[in-house]
Amino acid sequence: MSDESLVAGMASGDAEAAAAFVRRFQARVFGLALSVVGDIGVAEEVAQEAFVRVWRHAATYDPRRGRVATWLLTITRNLAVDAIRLRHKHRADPEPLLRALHPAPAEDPFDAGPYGSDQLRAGLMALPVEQSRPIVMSVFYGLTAKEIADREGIPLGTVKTRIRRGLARLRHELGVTDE
Amino acid sequence: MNETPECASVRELIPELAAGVAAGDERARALRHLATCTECHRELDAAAFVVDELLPLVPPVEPPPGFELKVLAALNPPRRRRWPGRLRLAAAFVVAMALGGVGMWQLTADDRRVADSYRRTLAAANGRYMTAKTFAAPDGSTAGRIFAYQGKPSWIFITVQYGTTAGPYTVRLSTRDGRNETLGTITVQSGSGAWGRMIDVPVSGIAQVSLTGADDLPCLVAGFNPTTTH
Repeated sequence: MSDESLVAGMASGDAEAAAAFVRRFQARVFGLALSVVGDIGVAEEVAQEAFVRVWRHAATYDPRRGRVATWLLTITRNLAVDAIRLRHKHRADPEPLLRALHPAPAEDPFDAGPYGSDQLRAGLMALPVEQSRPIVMSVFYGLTAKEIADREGIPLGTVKTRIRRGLARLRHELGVTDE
Repeated sequence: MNETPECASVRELIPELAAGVAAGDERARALRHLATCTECHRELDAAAFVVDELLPLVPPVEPPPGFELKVLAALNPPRRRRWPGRLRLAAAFVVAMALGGVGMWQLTADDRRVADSYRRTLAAANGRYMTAKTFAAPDGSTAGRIFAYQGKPSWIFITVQYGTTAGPYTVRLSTRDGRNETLGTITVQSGSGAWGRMIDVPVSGIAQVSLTGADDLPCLVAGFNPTTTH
């Protein structure tokens, strides 16, 4: 059953669709939550709340505005950022997450491999670290350019420029052009 | 389209808008501009697309054991017609197991069909229950039956199969609180007859119904004592 069909089932109150949806996405949601908050207990709370939000708002999901996985992970990321802001526990070092984004060689021959765009992953790894660090801190840790500048000890304008240039290169990797 | 100073200012903020981390006042200013500038809006869409695509790059991690159950409990989805039926089935299954297992469950299929038919019959007239008693002849044999339906309305129906005689029988009803009421007359021909009517007393209040024949016809009595079935 497609992701969209499961969301449609949840919108109509189908408990079995909800169970299938949780089983399908729980590892990705928990993985993202954990990478942002860095604490298993908090990550579990965040992941649970993400599924609750999807359940409550399933009827408002519009497939024209993006894939189900994107919708769910964006909700998860926003909740995770809220959780660390609430606890004043922003993660300082993006290096562990950057390393985790490297695709590990699949030990299981039946493993479907990492999710997401291989081109984007390769593009992120190819970025100069001074660009990939602030991008990760902004996108995954929810830090503003000012907060990143303070933490990294570099000028605000420099941070903004690095993020903008880094995102522009990643756009190119994804084939997103201005035209 | 020419890029205005406002465009330059907003584009500097686009990465933070795309990541959803822009401060409230800056965000409000940028959104006002984006509402009128298609070029800047396109820039924001492109940056937001990159951000959206970055999130799935995080490797999946299996959550702690029991996570799925906790989530489903938190969802507390309304069962909507599916679960009540399942619960009824589960309850019936438990009863079946108590009676002797799945074999019994299969063997009693006919009984369950009858019970289902009985429930539908009762539901036809808001019935709560239906019972049947026998009329005993003076010699102890079964002379007839009475069927009593507790519902809206409540009613009784009597059949007589006794001997070869003919003649009227007076139908009398006695209640548990000592009242006696004559309900009507049933005519028997060649030892066979049937009759019925609505009743005003609850079936549970009936002590007995008697059929009193004229002349030399016998008195047939159906007791409604709870311990006397049939």
